[in-house]
Amino acid sequence: MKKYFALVLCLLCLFCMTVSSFAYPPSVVPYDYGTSSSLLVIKKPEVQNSASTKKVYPLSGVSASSSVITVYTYDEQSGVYVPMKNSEGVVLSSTVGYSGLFGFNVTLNEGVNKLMVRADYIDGSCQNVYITIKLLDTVWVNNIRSIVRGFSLGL
Amino acid sequence: MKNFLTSLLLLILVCLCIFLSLEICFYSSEDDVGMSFISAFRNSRFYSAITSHDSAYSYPKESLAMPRKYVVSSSGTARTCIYNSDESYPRLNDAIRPVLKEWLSSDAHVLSQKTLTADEFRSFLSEDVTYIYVNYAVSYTPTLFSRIMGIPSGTRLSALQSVRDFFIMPDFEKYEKDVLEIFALDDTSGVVHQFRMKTELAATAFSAIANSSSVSEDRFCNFALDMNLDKPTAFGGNTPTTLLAPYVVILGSFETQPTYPVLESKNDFIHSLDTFNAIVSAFGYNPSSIRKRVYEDYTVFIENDSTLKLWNNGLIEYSAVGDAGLSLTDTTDTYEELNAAIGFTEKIWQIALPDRPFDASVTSNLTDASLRHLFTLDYYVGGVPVHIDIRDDDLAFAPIEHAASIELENGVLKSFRLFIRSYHETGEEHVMPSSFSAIDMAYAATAENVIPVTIGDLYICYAEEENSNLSSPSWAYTVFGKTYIIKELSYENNPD
Repeated sequence: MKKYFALVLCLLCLFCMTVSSFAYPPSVVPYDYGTSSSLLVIKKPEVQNSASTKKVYPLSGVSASSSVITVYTYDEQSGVYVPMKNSEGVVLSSTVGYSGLFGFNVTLNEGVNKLMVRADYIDGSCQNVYITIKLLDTVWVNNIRSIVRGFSLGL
Repeated sequence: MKNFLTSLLLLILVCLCIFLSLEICFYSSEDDVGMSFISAFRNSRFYSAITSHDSAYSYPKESLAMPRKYVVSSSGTARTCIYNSDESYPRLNDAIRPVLKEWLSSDAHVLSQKTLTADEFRSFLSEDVTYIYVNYAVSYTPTLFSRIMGIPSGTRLSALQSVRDFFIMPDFEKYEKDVLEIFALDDTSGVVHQFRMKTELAATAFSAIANSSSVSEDRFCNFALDMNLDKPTAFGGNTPTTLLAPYVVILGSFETQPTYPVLESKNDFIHSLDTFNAIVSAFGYNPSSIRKRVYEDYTVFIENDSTLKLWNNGLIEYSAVGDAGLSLTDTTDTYEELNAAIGFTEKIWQIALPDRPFDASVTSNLTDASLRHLFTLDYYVGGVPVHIDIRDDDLAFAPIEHAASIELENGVLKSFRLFIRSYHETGEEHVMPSSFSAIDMAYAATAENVIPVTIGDLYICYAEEENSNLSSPSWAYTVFGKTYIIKELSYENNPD
C-alpha cells in the first residue's frame, strides 16, 4: 500500500514539475535574459526602443512551436516585470502553434512602457526579450504637424 | 361618464387596429421571411407582369456597390473592422460612398495623381496615420466599377487593370481640411495609384471615421502588415515559405475566440406541377410540348439542343450546346450581362421560393474581358458567406460549389445552376479558433508547398457539405485566388 502511495506521489510530483515548466513565472527580475537566445524573435516592434501613437499596440513575433509566450510589464513599485493583463483581467499568454507566429494587442499607458516578452519551451529553456515603447500624445503629434504645415505653407 | 369611457376605449381599439394594420403592410415582420406584405406584392409575378418591373429590391445587385468591409484607423485608437452586417456600417457607408462617387466622376477636382510601388505605399501606412480602408468582395475592371458606382462614363481608373481595395486619408502633404488622398490598389499589378482630391465631403468623411473608431473591442483588428506578418523572418535556421498578404485582416488578438451560430440548411423548393411549368417557361420552353422524363433523383426536360434538370436536392440545372441557349440580353456589355444574369437568377428563385428574399452576392471576380462570362453567386447569412461544397459519390451531378453559377456568351445563357437553400439559426453556437489558430492551420495546410505561398485572405464563413443539414462556422483562406475551408482544428487539411 505504501509503495502504491509513493508511486502516486511521485507521479503527482512529476506532473506538477511538467506543469511548472510550461507555466510562466509570476515575476521576472530585470536583465534576466533566460537560458536561451534562439527561442524568440520579435517582429513588431522592429527595434528595441520605439514610439507609437496607438494606445492599443500590435505586438508580434515568431517562436518555436509549442512555446508559451507571455507579455510582461515593468512594475515600478516592486522593481520586477509582472505578467500583463488585458481589459478582462486575463494574462496575455498563449501557446504558439504550427506557424510559430504570435501576436497580442497590448494596451499602452501614457509615457514610456517597459515590456518584456518571454518564451517558455517544453524542454524548460526560456528567453526574455525586453522592449520599450513610448506612447506619444496625439495632441503633441498634431502640434508638430501644425508646425510642419506652417513651414510647408510658408515655403 | 360610462358612455364616454366606452367611446374612448372604442377609439383606442380602432387606432390600435389601424396602427397594427399599417405595421403588417409596410414594415418587415420578425419572422424568417423578412418581407412585408407590400414588398411581397411588389416581388410577385402579378406585379411584374402589370408593371414590367423585375424586382422591388435585389440583394445581389445592391451588394455589388457595397464594400465587404471597412477598416478604420484613427490616430490614437485601435484599428477597427466594420463588416457590411455591422450596425455602424450603413452610417459609414453613407459617408464614404459619395466620396468615391465624386472622385470617379469627371467633375472631381483632382489636384494631382501619381503612382507608388507596393513597398512605398506600405511605408505610408505607419501606425499614426488616420485612414479608412475600403475592401470589396470581388475585383472589378475599372469600367465596371465606375458603372456599378453609378458613373457610366468614368475614366478616373483607366490606368488600372482591376480594382478591389482603396484607402482614403486626410491630406498629409499640406494638411488642407478640404483635401483627401485616395489610393487605389491595382489588384493585378500591385501598383498603387495616388490621387489628391479637393472635396467638400472631406470633413463629413473624417467625422464618420472618428465616430466609427469607437466600436466594440471584438472588432479591433490589425492588418498583417501592422504586425509585420507579411515579411519573412528567419527563425531556427528556416525561413517560412508561407506568408500573409499585407492587407489580410487579423481580427482580435492571439487569445480572441469569436462565437458564431450554427445554421440549419433547408431545401424549401417544393416540387409542384405549377412551379415546374413556370420554371420550364422561364427557360423558354413550352411546358405542354417539351419532352419530360422523371427519374428517382430528378426530372429532366429535353429539347434538341438544351436540357433542364430539376433535382430533388434543390439543384436547378440548365445547359445548352453549340450556338443554342436562352438570350438574356441583346448587348455584350459585361455590366448588362451581369445585371441580366442576376435578374434571371432572381426570377428563377422567386418562382421556386416566392416568399423568400434571395440573399446572395456575386463572388466571382468581374475582371474577365472574354466574351464568355461565368458569374457565381453565394448565399450570405448575417453578412457571412456560405461556402457550398457538395459532391455526389455517383457523379450524377458535377460538384456544387456555389449557390448559383451562370454562364453567358454574347448575352446568351449557356449554362445555369441554382442550388436552392435557406438557412436558419439552430440556437447552437460555436466558439471559433482564434485568428492565429486559423493562421496556424493555413500554414500547416500549405507547408508542403515548395514555392512560396501567400495567404491572400482569411475570414469566417459557413461551410455546407453533403449529408449534413447543418452549416457550421469555419475559417477560410485563399491562396492564388482559390478558397480553402479549414474544416477542423487539425493540421491535416491539404489544399491539394
